[in-house]
Parts: sequence; structure tokens; C-alpha cells
Amino acid sequence: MRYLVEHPERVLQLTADHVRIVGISILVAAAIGIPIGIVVTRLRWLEGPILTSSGVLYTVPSLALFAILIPYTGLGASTAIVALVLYSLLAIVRNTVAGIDGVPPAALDAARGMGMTGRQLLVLVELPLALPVILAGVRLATVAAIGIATIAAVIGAGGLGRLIFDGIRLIDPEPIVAGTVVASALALSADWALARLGIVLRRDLGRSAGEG
Amino acid sequence: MTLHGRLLELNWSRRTLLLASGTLGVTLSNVDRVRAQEAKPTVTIGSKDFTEQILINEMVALLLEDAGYPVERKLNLGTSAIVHQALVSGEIDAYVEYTGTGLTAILGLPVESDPQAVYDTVTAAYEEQFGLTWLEPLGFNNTYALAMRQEQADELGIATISDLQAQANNLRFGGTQEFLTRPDGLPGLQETYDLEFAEERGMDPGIMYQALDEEQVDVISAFATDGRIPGLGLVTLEDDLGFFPPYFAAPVVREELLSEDPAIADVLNQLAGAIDDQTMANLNLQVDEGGQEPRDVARAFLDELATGGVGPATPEATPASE
Amino acid sequence: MRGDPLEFITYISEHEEQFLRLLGQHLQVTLLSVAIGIAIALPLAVVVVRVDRLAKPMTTLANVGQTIPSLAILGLMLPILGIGFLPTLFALTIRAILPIFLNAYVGIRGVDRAVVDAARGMGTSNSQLLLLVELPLASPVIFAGIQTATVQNIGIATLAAYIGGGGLGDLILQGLAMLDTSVLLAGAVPVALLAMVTEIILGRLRRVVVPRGLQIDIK
Repeated sequence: MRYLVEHPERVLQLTADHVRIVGISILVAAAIGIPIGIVVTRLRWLEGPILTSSGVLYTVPSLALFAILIPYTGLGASTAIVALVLYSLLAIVRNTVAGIDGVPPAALDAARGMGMTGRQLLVLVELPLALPVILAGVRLATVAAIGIATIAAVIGAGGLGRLIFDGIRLIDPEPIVAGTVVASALALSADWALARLGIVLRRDLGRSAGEG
Repeated sequence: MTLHGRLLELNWSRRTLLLASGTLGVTLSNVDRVRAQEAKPTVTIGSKDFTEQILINEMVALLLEDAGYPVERKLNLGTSAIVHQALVSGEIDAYVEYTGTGLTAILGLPVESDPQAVYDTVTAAYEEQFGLTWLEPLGFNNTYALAMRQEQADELGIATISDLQAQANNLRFGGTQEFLTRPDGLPGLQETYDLEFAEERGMDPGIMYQALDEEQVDVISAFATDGRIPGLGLVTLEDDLGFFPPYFAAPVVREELLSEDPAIADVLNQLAGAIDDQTMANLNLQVDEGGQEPRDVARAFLDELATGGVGPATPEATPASE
Repeated sequence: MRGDPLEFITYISEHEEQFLRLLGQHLQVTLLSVAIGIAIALPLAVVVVRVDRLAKPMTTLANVGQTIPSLAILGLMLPILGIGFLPTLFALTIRAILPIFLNAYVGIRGVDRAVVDAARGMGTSNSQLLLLVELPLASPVIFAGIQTATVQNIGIATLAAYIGGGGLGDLILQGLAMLDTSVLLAGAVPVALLAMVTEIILGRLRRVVVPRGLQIDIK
């Protein structure tokens, strides 16, 4: 813990790098993954190939994926972000599909009865009702990405992994402990915050459903 | 003023305070500094992933900052090839490289032993192939050296790398992953000296010394200017067949940047010939064993350099190998 | 970056001996870590299911443990266990214990109480209950935990290359060091394939090991 006290600026800087890499990755993954998930619920034959391929991607070890990407995306944060996006797709796509599939048929029938078009149905009924499940996918992806991003330091992407490598270089546990504590705290607080958000969403949905 | 400008200013007022309390006689006022800075290009400094590199490139960064350049640090990027790639692609503007590394690992040229010839070769080739300029050497030669524990080397009667040949198959080798693949590393060494070790293990540069000290390996690829060689009672083996080229350190800078602002060369050449092997080993030791921050060690050295007080060795540091 | 992406195949065939040695090291440390992980995590889960007040602290600990970067465990073990095989095995074992423990705990806890009560009503002893009822019923979830741990550890074992632990990570780091694509991919592609193939094989094996009738699809 001494390291945290003695080098707050460096820790803060690396934490900011880390949050930025993970944040961008998750946003991009959501921007790609949610539409893919929606398409899958419309074109069912895509489900097998898409979920299998993102599942296979997920098993590729991070150091290997970074290495495989380097010839194409170079060293640094861009490679880290591409890799994290690929890893995050599985949870986000799968949960989007599950969330939309889980929308009660009664709600759909009612909406159709009100004369909603396909697009209105999606935006006003399916997505809002699927949101808590989609969010759970985002949560899983975020916690995993915070951990994987530590390895991105290998390819010059910065982030909290830098502290761990510093510690290995100097055989000094202090920076390692500092990097670990901050990375764990980030993961746990992201997990907690997204879980809270999910609870709030569910409650609101429950309420509006009760009203409607 | 933009937010960025304000941040710079904040940064600089802090630095000015530090400087005022230090030994450097800087006369520029805070306002002058900020103004001077706005006119000057931002310089991005990189480094490889071991102590000496971080330390020496930190010095380069600090020197530029002292001269009023905004500096971005991308230190600890990785291996030679990675940092070189970053320089060629313009991700960084400068870092300190070693002549022998440029010659063999980057340019893929055969080993040469004359330091001046190596320097001339890399200077010309870098200019032509990459548009990069080598500035003046800093003074020290951080050559690779094979190191062993003193007792074991004595016991087995090994003083030169040639002596290893008969016993290598009983010895375990540890080195950086980079050394295990570089042409001027293990592959070339094995060929020149006909060596076959019992085991070859790749690891992070920082932990080789401890691995050797704790008898988990028997021979390592050390850096000659690493203060831990004397610190841990290690001995380096004589390169009796002259396999390793000289590795004199010098800043390599993107030509584009130098033509934009030629004064950068003068700023960095303040370090020319200022650091000998012994001094470098001592500085490294202050980080590796003394637990000091590279930036603090670099700052202290530059302050000493500015006041002309750089002696051969600071008293608390252990003298480097012979 | 030098080299044609498919040159890594040539590299492997030209360095067959080295490649097989590294592959062997990789498999050895991964399998051993999972085996030790099972030996520790399964009994632990059984105890925690029985002793209720351990449940909360142990599952919290395991969940927090999941957020510790593997590289950090490796680094922290350096001063204690030195370099090479031992710290690698230690870090991988810790990593294996977490998912196996959590899955086993959740699996055993999830066994239908009615089934347990029925078994007790028939006079089964505690150990019979565990071996004949709880473990078999929880086996799909337990096996999924083992699968997760194995596939994940194949990846984490690449990090051993930083601390002299060998394995296919050596080739990845050497390729990175020289920005030589063929060396880099000679390590990265086999590791990726190994992880995928293991995932598939263990998925199939689950269908063999888990009692028919309990086979559910677990991701």
C-alpha cells in the first residue's frame, strides 16, 4: 500500500489509462454487440454461427490474441481495444438475444394490438424490457475486460498492468500490490455499480408494467 | 487559455518551485517558460523495458523539459524492436539506443568490433533507411556479458566464454526472451562458441539476476552496466572471441523533428560523453537496489551535471566490475 | 513486422524439438494446476456447503479473488517461490481453484432439497448422501467449472514466459521481442487452438461423464 501513497500521480494516470481502454472497448462492444443480438433474434439461422464464433473467440488466450492482432493493428492501445471488444462481444450478444427472447409474449401481443410497427415494437417494448438482461451481459464483459486489460501493458498500451510489470522487473511487491488493489477495486466497483443499475432498471420496469 | 494550456501552466509552476529550491540556476520566469513552450514542438520520448533505458530516457525527457519543450513520456514500451518500430512509425520522437543493437538486431548487419566503425555504419544506415538521426554517444558501453556466480565460476575454472564450452551441457542458461532470439544474442553466441546449455529459460530482464543469485540458473545474459553484477557478487566472462559488438548508447531522433527544431540536437548533446560505464552502473544501482525512482535519480544526475559536480562515483554505490 | 503470416508453420517445423518441449511444458503445468485445483476446491466446496457460516465469507473471497490479475499472482510469488515452474504452478492453481470452488458450491447448494430429504428418509449416511446424491446431481455444474478452469489456464500459462516458466508463451514473447510474426504466431496460434480444442473436448467429455438425464446445456 506504500506505493499508492508515495506515487498517487502515477497510479492515477495508469488508472485513467485503464479506465479509458476498458470504457472505450465496452462502448464499442455494446454498439456492435447489441445490434448483432437484435439481428440474431430476427434472423434465427444466424444464432448458431454467431454465438459459436464469439464463443470460440472468447477461448483464445489474451496474450495470444494480442499477438495475433499486432501485425494488423500495431502496438499500443488500439490493439488492446480491438481484443477487448472481441472478448466482450460474447457476453453482450448472448445476453441481448436472451433478453429479447425473454420478453413476455403478452407484452408483444398487446403492443401489436396497439398497432405498433416492427421498429416501434423493438424500441418501445423489446429493448426496454430486455435492458436488465443486456446490462447483465455488459457487466460480465466489463469485469472481465478490467482483468484482461492488465495484460495489455505487454504491448505498450499502458494501464495498471504497467505497475505489475514494474514490480516484476524490480522484484518489488509494492507496485504489484498497488496495481492489483486498484484493478480489483475497479472491477468490484464496476460490478457493483452495474448491478445496482440493473436493480433500479428492473424496479422501474416493474413499476411501469404495474401502471400499464 | 485552453484547458491544456492551463494544465501545462500548473505543471510548470510546480516545476519552477522545485527548480528554485534546487541547484540549477534557471532564470526564466514562469510566464516566459509557458510562452517559450507554446512555440516549441512537443517531443515524445520512448524507452525499452529495463532500468537503464527508463533512467536514461527520463534524463532526455527532463533535459528537453528544462529547455522548455513540452514532453510526452512513453517509457517502458518493450523490447528494442518494439521501441524502434514506435520511432519509425512516429509514435515516439526519440529514445536512446545502443550502437550494437542498431547494427545487429535492427539492421541485421554482421558484427563489427570497432566502436567508431559501428557508430558510422548505424548513423548512415538509419539516415538512409528510416530517416532517423543518431546524436552523439553518451559515453558508456552497455555491452551484453555472460555472468555467473563468482564461486561457481571459480569452482569450475571458468573465466572466458570459451571456458564454458566443455561444461555448458551441465549449466542452465537464463536470459531475456529478446536475448534468446537476437542474432547478437544466444543464437549467434552458440554458433560462435559452439555452446549447448542444459536448459535455456527466458524471463523478464529484471529477474535474471535474482534467478542467478538464487541458483535457479547458472549463466545469464547480463548488461555490463548493471550495478547488480558487483552488488550480488557475480562475475562476467570475458568475450574472448570478440562476439559481442560495442553497444555505445546515443539518442536516436526523428529527422523530421530535428529539421523542424534543430536546437533539440544541441539540448540532447549536452549529455555527450557525460556518462561513463561506472557512472551508469551506479545510477542503475540507485534504482535497482536503492529503490529510488528513475525520475529522481535522473533529476539528481542532471542537477549535478549542470553544476559541474559529476564525479566518477558516488560514495554509497558499489563500484562496478573491473 | 517481418514475415508472411503463414510462415509460422515453417518456423514450427524447423524448430520442432523446441516447439514440442515448450508445448510439453505448457500442457504439464496446466494439467497439474487443474488437478491440484480440483483436489483443493472440491473438498472445500463440500465443507462450505455443510458449514453455513463459512458460505458468505468464502464465496465473497472467491469472487474478489477472481478480480486479481494472474500476472500479479505470478509477480507476488517471485520473492517467495523464485522463478520458473513453481510460481507458475502456484498462480495457475489459485486460478483453477476459484471457478471450480464457486461452481461446485453453487452446484451442490442447488441440489433439490426434496431429493436430499428423500435420501435422508431412506437412511443414507452423510458420506453416502454426498457421493450418491449430491455430487452426481451437481456434476454438470462442477464439470463446467473444471472446463472453465482448464481453458482459462491454457491462456494464463503463456504468462510463465515472463518468469522463466517456459511454455508456448516463450515463442509469443520472443516474437514480440523481435517483432517477428512467424515466431509470435508459432506460439500464439497453437495456444489459441489448444484452448479451443480443449473447450470442445471437455464439452464432449461432459456428456460422457455427467449422468444421462442430468445433462443440461451450460455455457
